[in-house]
Amino acid sequence: MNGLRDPEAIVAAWLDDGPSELPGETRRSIAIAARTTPQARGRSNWLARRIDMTRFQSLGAVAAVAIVAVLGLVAVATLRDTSDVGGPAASPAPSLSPGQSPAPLPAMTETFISEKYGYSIRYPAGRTALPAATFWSLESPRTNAILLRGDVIKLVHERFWTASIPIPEGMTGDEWLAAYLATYGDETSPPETWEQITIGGSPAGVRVGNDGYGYIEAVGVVDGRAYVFTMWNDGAAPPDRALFDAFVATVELYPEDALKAPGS
Amino acid sequence: MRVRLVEQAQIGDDVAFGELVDLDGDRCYAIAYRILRDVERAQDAVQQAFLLAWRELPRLRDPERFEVWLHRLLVNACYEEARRYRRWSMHVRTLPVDGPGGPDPTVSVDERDALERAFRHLSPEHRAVFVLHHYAGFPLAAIADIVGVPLGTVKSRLHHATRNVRSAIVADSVIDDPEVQTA
Repeated sequence: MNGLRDPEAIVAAWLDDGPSELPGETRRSIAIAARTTPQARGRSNWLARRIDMTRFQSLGAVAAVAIVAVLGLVAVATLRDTSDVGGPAASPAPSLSPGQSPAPLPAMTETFISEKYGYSIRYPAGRTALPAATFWSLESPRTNAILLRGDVIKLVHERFWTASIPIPEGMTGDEWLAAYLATYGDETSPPETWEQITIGGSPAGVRVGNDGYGYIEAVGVVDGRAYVFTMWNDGAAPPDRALFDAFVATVELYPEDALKAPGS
Repeated sequence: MRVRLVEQAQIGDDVAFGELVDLDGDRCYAIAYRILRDVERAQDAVQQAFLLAWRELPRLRDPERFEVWLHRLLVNACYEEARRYRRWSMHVRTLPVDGPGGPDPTVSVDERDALERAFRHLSPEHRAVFVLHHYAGFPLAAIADIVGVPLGTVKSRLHHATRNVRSAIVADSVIDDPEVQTA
């Protein structure tokens, strides 16, 4: 009878069940990430530089900061004067209504290099770029498992997912795209209607959809390798297109350097 | 040895960092899995924690505190994964994962189910305290340091989580007990 058994022992046994070894793929992904991700600057270095300054250098630094501040104030005052007299001011984008302003795009200051999928991309500082833990294939369903099969840049409300795959011999790019859409298709958005853009100097088609969450996706074929760039949003609306464009504008493609999946 | 590896990794030695991953990876993964109850999200959380550790290591002032610091990053990564779960849960049914020897026969299928259900009703913050204490064996003061809350809050969360998880078993046992059913 269960009523006579020790709940503590049951809970302890239940907690002990489950995996306890980090998979090798994840270890390798961490190792690759460490090799390709720059470290933050140490606080101690900054302190050391500060302490190492001579008195004269310190005075010089203070003077430099003061000069920059004064110049900044002068510049602001000048701009104010210009706008007050009705001079030409920067006009908003035509699509924006008065009072609206576009969300500022983050500066893409960090670089992520994907050895597995043969490309590089830039992303904002303070965000995380995770290399794919395993190789992606057309058979991978679009579930949470797919996240680990692509490189992922984590933003606040979005994830930017990238993977590439060699097109099998004898298959054309269009045939591969048809096979891709058989798994990841969206009948409301056939490829003929996709907007054409350029990624890393190569043509790609862009579609906007919703698979439970809004996404923007670009698909292109370069030198026998298909690349997929997808940005998902937390909500049902698609992510900000300007943000997606800002990411893909930084992409460089190296299809010949991509790693081969085991068994391929 | 660990402190030496941390110091080497702090100045950019990725081989030393790899050794730290070898030393701490399994434990971090086991903890993350038990908080998240999902293999892939646990892998994701561990990867995220170690990547952040690599980036921020130069700012870690006391290499002796690496373990607590790493677990703090891990718990925060688990919180983030847990928050994102709703997004993917509509597509996926998570299957339980057993250890190398299969499920522990000490726990019946009904009990496992009851425990899983009770545990999933807990917040990630409660789960973390529960796992760090009952599975990883951290003292309460260390848990307070890891999760960044006062000791009293840790005690309160642990009490709440333990009571809920245990009550799932007790309730399940009572239902299974024919003497109670016929009473």
